Amino acid sequence: MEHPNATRMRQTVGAFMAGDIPLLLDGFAENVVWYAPGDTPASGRFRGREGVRRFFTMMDEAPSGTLRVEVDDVLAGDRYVTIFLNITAHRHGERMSVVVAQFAEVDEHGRWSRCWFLPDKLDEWNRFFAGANSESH
Amino acid sequence: MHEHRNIAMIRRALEVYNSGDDNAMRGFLADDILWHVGGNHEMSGDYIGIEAVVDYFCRVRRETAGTLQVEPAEILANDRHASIFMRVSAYRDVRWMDVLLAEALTLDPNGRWTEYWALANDQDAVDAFWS
Repeated sequence: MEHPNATRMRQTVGAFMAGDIPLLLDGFAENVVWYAPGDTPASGRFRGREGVRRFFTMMDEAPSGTLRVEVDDVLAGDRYVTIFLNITAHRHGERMSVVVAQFAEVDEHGRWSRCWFLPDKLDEWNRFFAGANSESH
Repeated sequence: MHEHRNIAMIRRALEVYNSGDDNAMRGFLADDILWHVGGNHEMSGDYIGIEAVVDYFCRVRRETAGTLQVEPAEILANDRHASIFMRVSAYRDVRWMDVLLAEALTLDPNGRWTEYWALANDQDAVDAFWS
């Protein structure tokens, strides 16, 4: 039987793919800290649910709606969750295909309080998202 | 609850790592392992193959004068993947680092590590430590 935090993480990813922003944000703690690696306008530390919303908006807008996220596997305990994601997108003939390891810390209410991730091909990630909307974090 | 065999194997690997026997770590690594170190510092990047990874271990130990220690907070694993959340502490000259490092692993059928990702929850602190 799957750990409840694994199920919750699948729901968070599903909400993003469905474009259900309220459901997506409901999975995060009010004071969540989201760390995005790399060297793109969408890199750095995003604070609070509003920060998370800005990050996901940049992710979704940059590849013009071609972003696809497929859950490969989820590992979960009471305090931490790791999800393995196959992420693809294309734009202007350029294609990105990366495996992302996404980490999350769980607060006492079962919400994500700290999140951070790393793609297997960071150079490819950087190239693809180099033109992401550079709204301040 | 019965602990997955790959969790037990990772516990042994971390004990070996803390013992300072970098060569003994070879037993846990696939020959063609791909090792990704996140962040923006001189250790960041990809290390390809078992020799490159063991060299990386040796370099880290040398740079930290053997002070680097890992203490697992949680280990998660199934047949294909594992993840380690662990406290990592080390001195480097006058600098001190104490962070929570998240690691993700893909495993071969024998539990050996084939791909590895690592990124800290406070990556700025790690970047400053290695700068």
